[in-house]
Amino acid sequence: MSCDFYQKFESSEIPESEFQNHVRACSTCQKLVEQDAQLLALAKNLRQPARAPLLWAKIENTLRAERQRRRPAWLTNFQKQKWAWLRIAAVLLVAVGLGSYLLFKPKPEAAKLLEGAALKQVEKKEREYAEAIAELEAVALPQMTRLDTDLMLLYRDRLETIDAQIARCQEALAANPGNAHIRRYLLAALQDKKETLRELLNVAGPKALAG
Amino acid sequence: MLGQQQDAEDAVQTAFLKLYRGIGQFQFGAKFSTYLFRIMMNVCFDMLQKRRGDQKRDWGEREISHSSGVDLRLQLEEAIDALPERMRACFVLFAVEEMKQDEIAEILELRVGTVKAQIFHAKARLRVLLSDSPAEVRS
Repeated sequence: MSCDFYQKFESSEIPESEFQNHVRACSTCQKLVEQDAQLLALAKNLRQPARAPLLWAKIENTLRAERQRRRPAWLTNFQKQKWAWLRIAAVLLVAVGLGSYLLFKPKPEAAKLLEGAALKQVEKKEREYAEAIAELEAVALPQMTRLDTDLMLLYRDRLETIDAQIARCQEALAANPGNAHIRRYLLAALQDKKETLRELLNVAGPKALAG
Repeated sequence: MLGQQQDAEDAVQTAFLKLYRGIGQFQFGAKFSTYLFRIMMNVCFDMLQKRRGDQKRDWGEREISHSSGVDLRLQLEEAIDALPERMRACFVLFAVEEMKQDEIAEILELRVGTVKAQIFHAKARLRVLLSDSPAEVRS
């Protein structure tokens, strides 16, 4: 005896209430429902946790190997030769630093040398000072005898100090004539000597200066 | 589903590898367990196909055997193993893993009606085992 109600119920062709009403009267469907209940109960027992203690370790290893495989080649190479790359980086850093220093370092003093026309102009000014000083010396030095002794010694020491300063500057300029700093000191010394001689003449007597 | 524990372990391992490779394709909002089960089932189908190719046996059309012993549990395992792959997958997920039919349909990418039909036919085949078995089913 066959009955397709159970199949229709299983495929949702008929509602459950209709099937339940039918089952009460159909022994074939009753038997099918019982057998399926037994079958499902038995099948549920098939689900037993299997012991696989090494499974997760295997999965981890597989995933780790996969991650290693997917890592970019350049990163792997870099890690293998890490120290070599670090040495290259250090050398490059030093080279760039040194290059920057050499490029941007302050200009040395020698670079501030007077050249050409500027040097000639300074030398001309020095000659003018020297000529003026020579004229003043010719008039002022004889007048020193008219000063009292202390004042005379004071002016003599002061002029000797200035002369020594001028001599040191001239000596240095003989070796390095373009050095602007020494030229500036020399001009200052010459100017100082000129002013001292004028002062000496003023102190010794206005007549001498006028003459 | 695969019948052997070693094969099952290999399948789990392969499934995790596929999950790792394809995790970017997972759409958040979908159920992760469904996604993982789908990968798992596809791996199982691949392995079964490979096994079938290796052994040159038609596992899907194998007859249910009653000669392997009186243990009903073993007989049921053998009987399930003899079901066609898709039918077996539907039945295992429904009866063993106790999943709902719509979830099975999503995992196996089938219509719910197809899943219901596959489960019905699987039960019909397995019922033969129960009715003919010398052992009694005691639930």
